[in-house]
Amino acid sequence: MTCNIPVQEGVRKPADCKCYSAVMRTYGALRDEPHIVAMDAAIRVYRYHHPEDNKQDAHLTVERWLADGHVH
Amino acid sequence: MFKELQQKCSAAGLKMTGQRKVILQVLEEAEDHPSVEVVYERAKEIDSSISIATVYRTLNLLDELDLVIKHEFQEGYSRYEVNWDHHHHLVDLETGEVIEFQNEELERIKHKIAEDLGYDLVDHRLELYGKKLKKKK
Repeated sequence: MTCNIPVQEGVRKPADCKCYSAVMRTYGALRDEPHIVAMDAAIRVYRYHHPEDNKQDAHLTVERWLADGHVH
Repeated sequence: MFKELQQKCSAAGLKMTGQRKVILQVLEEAEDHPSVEVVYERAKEIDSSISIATVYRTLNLLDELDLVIKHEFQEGYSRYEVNWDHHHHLVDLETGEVIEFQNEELERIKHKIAEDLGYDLVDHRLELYGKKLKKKK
């Protein structure tokens, strides 16, 4: 059975992005730092790869990736 | 992080009793720079048998072993924080790799900037972002 829940608007799917592993790697490496610091760094890496995304969409995408990737 | 701190204490020859573990836990979780009294209040919530004398003794020991930093903010009492290895991060934007680094010149400059602005530097955060330089052929 496949999941039919639509991906939230503005959120990219990990499979679409070559930068997924870079974003997750950054957050993972900084997981001992406060969440906001690790998150900010992960978003900066994401926005380097996707300068066309606005801040809010970048934040949503990274937040979703982290939640799905269980990097906590 | 807590485990790392415990390992540091053990390596420094500090016997890890239950009460000392509680005090370390309080210090590790603190996002401020708590005074002895504040450490005592927080530790008491975890283990009500802890006395303020134990907190004083433990903090002095940790200070002697250089495992905590004792701050004197001209308030008439000291504040404490865990002495983590001070380092900064450089994030590789292309790969997401995070490189930890230390730089004495940077430490001096940070203090000088604060001082020039009329402040005593208490805390700061710095992350660098970059991409690897291409090697010249």
